[in-house]
Amino acid sequence: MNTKVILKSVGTCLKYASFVFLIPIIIAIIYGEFFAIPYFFLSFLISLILGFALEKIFYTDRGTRLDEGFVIIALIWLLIALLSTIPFVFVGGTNFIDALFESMSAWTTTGFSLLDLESVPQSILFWRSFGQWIGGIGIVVLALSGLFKTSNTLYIMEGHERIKPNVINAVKTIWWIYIFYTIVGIALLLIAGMPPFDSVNHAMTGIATGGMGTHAESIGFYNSQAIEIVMMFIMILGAISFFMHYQLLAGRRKKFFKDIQTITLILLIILAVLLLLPFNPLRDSVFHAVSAITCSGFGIQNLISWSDYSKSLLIILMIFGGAAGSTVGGLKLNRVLIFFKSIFDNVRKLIKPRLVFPRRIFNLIYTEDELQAVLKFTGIYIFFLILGSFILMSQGHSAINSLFQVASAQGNVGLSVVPDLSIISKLTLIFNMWIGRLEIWAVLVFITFILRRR
Amino acid sequence: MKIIVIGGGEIGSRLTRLLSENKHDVVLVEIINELCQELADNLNATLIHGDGTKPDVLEEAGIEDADALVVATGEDETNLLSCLVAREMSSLRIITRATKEEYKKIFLKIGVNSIVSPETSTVDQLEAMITEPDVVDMALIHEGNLELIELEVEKKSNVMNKPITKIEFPKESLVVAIKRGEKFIIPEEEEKLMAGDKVVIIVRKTLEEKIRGMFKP
Repeated sequence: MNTKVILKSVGTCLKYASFVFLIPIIIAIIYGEFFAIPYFFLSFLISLILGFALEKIFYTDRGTRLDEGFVIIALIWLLIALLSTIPFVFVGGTNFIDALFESMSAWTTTGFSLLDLESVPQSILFWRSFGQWIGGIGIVVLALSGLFKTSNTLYIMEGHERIKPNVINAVKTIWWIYIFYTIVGIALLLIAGMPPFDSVNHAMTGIATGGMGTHAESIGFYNSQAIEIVMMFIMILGAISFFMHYQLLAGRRKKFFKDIQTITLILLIILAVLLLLPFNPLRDSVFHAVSAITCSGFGIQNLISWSDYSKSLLIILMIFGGAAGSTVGGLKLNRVLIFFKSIFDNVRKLIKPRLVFPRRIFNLIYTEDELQAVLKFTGIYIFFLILGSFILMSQGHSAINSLFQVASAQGNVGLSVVPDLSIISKLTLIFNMWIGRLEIWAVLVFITFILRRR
Repeated sequence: MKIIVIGGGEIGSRLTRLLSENKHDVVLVEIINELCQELADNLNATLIHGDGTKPDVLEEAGIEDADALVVATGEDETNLLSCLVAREMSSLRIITRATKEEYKKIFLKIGVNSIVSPETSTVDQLEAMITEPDVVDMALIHEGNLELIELEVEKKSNVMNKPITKIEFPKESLVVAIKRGEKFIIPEEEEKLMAGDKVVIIVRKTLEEKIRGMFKP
């Protein structure tokens, strides 16, 4: 791995990413929050200059390799989260750790928040939502570029057939679909009676399955079933593979409705609701089941008072996540399916040792290497869940709440049952959000890279 | 029906596909590991990796409650052993593939119910068609309103000494084979018909008389 190549690429990405800091300025102007403008502009300048500097100082004409790609994305997510703390600290008025927690939560499409949402400026509210929106599409594009080889996201679904012959075109198509759904989301929320500013924010964080709202009570604030239904619809859209959205919009409805991940998503929601119903009202059950499995994190009720049983059910959903190739976190359903199939196969193999099993679950085909990758990923995912919970338990939280909070962070969900967090807990959750978003390996490669350089 | 197929070669795998498409419960036994995995990925059947001549493999394949066993490896010797072991274990229906003439009796002797020989069965069928006089009755062909006929090329007939492509056969007819002396020929396009040749033709019934006429002087 070449440090020059890595830092140069990080510089290039940062240079372009810096422009996202300019967007909230529009909102600041609309709402007359002129005091916020200099800080967003400052963030923009620092990012732009840092980007240019890295690009110039470490200039090289060698292309980037896959292993370097891992370090680059890990570094980019960390740097952008760090730079985004500037508006949170100076406009939002929080301390640095809380700001980092907030911005990591935004950029990883998690949705935890430590801000007092009723008093912060509109531009800050928008800044969080916009970060989630960009973070959401960012992860779909990364999946598409093939960097997350281990997640066998889009290629495998259709027997290695790509959306369009080249990645650039595919990325463009996905962008348009994403923008289209966001606009549809805004329209539907307006129809359902949500105020315009809130509609824009919720449509963005909904399709990104981010979960950041504009009120402390999240969707519960509106107490409107129409809004809840629209939000669930947007969340589910965000949790379905964007490759399948492409198929749907291209008129291939059959492919969309036969996608094994989409079917599994719907079946799991129904199953979860049935299991939650004996203990919780229907409205709460459905909304929180959808919010958990789509890794969104919107809520209509305080989950702290939920029973351990209901919490653990949501934990399972948060660990599973939605479809690969979407904006969700968690293990993702293709991995979940392959994992359980291989476990089932293994049991049958213990009974009949000579049986040979198809590497296929309906239309989901996988290779031996991909199976190995799924098993390793599942293992490391669970390990970090336990490690994080262990640290939170040391801070005095109960086992169930610790696991819930860490599963929510690592799955980039954002549902919360722990209101008061110590600094150690906050840092742990920041780490879990970071590794969860980048499918763990990228961060482990990054850490290895840093340690080796010493 | 539950059917066990031994041997995942061309015949075994095609048969498995056909049977599973017809909703039969098929267990395919294949000895080569990589081939076995490939078949598992592509077929809708239970795949067993193992030697089909071993009793424990047949047991794992579920010979106890199977209705039929098809032994279809490429080697007669393997097939023979497999049939022998299977017959020892169960009284199910056994169908085997056999190539060598001298083994056929042995297969029958050890209790195999049917023998199929893909290589010779085509020839056998052809022979049966030709040796039977004039019209070969075959239900299938009849259903399609077709006739399989055998005609002798008479001296001075129109078709004599002409390559098949040059003869103006009616549209719905096809030369299938030629018997010349003791030899059977599957004719190439350039094959010339000679006096005394017996020509097997598949033809639409209504055109039968017209073709018969062409073979006369």
